Amino acid sequence: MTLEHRTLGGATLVSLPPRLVKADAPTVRDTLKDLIGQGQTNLVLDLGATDFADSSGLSVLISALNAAKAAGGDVVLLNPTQPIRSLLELTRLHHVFQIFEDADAAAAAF
Amino acid sequence: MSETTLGPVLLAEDSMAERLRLRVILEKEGYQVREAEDGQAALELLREEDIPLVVSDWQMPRLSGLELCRRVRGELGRDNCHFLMLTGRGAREDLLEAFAAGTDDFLTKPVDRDELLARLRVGQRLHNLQADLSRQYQQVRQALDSERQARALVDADLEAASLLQQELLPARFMRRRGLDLAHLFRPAAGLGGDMLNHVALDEQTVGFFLLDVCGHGVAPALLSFAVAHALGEMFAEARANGEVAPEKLLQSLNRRFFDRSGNGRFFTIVLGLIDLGSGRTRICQAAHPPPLLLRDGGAVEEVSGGGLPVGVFEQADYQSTEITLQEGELLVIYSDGLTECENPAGEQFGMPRLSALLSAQRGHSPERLLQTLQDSLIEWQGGEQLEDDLSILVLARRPATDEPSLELALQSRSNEIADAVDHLRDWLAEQGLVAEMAFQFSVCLAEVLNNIEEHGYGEETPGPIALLCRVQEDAVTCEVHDQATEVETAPEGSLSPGDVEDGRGWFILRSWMDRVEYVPAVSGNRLRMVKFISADQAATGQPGHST
Repeated sequence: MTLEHRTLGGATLVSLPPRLVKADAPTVRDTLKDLIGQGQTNLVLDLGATDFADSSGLSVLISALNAAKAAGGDVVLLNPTQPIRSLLELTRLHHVFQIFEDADAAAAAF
Repeated sequence: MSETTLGPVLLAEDSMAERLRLRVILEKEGYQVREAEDGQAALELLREEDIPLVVSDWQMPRLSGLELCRRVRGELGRDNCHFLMLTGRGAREDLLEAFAAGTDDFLTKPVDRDELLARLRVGQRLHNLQADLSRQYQQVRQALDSERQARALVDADLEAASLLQQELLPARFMRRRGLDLAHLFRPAAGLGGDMLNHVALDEQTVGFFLLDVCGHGVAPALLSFAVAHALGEMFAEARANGEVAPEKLLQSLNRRFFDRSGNGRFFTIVLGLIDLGSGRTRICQAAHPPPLLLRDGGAVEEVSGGGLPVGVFEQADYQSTEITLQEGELLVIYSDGLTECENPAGEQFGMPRLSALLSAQRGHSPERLLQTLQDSLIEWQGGEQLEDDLSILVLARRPATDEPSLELALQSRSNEIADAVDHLRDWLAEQGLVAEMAFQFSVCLAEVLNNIEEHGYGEETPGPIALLCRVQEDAVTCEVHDQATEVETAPEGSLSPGDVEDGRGWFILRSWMDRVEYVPAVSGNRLRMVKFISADQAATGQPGHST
């Protein structure tokens, strides 16, 4: 599994997979860490196609945020589906991440 | 108190002549005397020794008698020292100031011998009295402390007994062939006089009982343990001998637990046997609130009959009542803590209210019914802590057509877990479950399985997991079995959003499931999670769902 990513303003937009569970976590985590390691420290994570996640999947998002912040950047979330949004809200992650509905607004957040 | 204990006396007087004169008077009387030539010297002496009587001049160099008195009370904290001030002054303001400083008594100069001795005797008596009181107070304190320690030991014992009592109970929910059994057990004061159980006598028959020993606390609890144990043996014997009659069991129970001491120790009980194939149920009661039969159409019938409480009379006859529990019908057995639960106005919950509530619960699972009963009762009573022991046992005969179910077996590896959860998501959607519920249920199952992988077996050493998921009319349930070492459950509600790990999975599970039961065992751990389907979330009746 490779994740699509493209430049979006001053940030990098990464499309996350439809399923983000423990089995998918290592690949996604490594991809995001590589991007940050290459200096793309401002990430917009597109959750528009993701319709299922578990807490291990969520921890990938937090790892990425921590890594980006350590490198002087940030991570924001884009367009989560309703179930993923409910999971983010239940675990209070909507207070940890900025969440945007619109890609350009997300890119402008950095 | 003893008048013979004298002094010592501290004599603070700057005039050497006067000091000598007073010293002679006091020593002749039998007092030991300490001398100080001014207030400062007196303070040093008092700092060294707890001297009970002080005779002090008012005006002295370095430290006046007034200031000495203040320091004795304040700095040294000697409230139990009798302070007698010698004064040539008689002004009212001066006296008041000296009293405020803590002076106990005055003597006008020149000092009269008899008056000095009389006043010192009073001082001595007061001092001794106070010392006695203080000693007694210490003794009472010590007695209280040891009482408290003893009490803490008893409390610890009670808690251990309460845990033991919980362990004697069957699983909160058990599914037998064609029959669901569920119970609620809430002792009022940690340790209750209620007890219940159900056991399979053979392939065909389940025996069950619910008893209520009068009173709360240790003695009733011990009796309830003993009766439960005796019944276990009796069921086992009956199993060996073939035919069992509930009334015979009660008669022999009464012989065994007849209270020869006359302490008023007795209990009420419902005891029964149900045939799993036909639903034929024989019930025998000893002065217990009548079990209720919830018919398929919603009618509620009392199962009457029975006899005297067990343990009151040496000879007691019992009769069994026979009913048939049809498919879809429920039998509810309860202690009087249910019907006699009082609201703040002192009104009992009562049978009519209970019947109406049960009638409205028609078609619901026994777990759902118990939840509703408990909620209603807490609301009725207006507080969490129940005044009386409460126990309820529900037997529900399942309809012959079983609910749709999904069985999966897997190894605790991330990819197999992900596949299993995908499979469950698809299956729940096929059952017509609303998307939100299916999502929440699937996430929770993922959390449970991940936890077994990580903390149960360990990621390096995968092991087998079996799961069985059912969609019932009013609930989705999943039972997960594994052979791993015990998985610790995180404290409820713990969550720190910014942390990468820790507690999030269990938090999700506890938030989204209506019930999570975890039973670790050497023979295999069992986790059961339940999510109730509310009326507005009811399945849409797509293919595969049997409503």
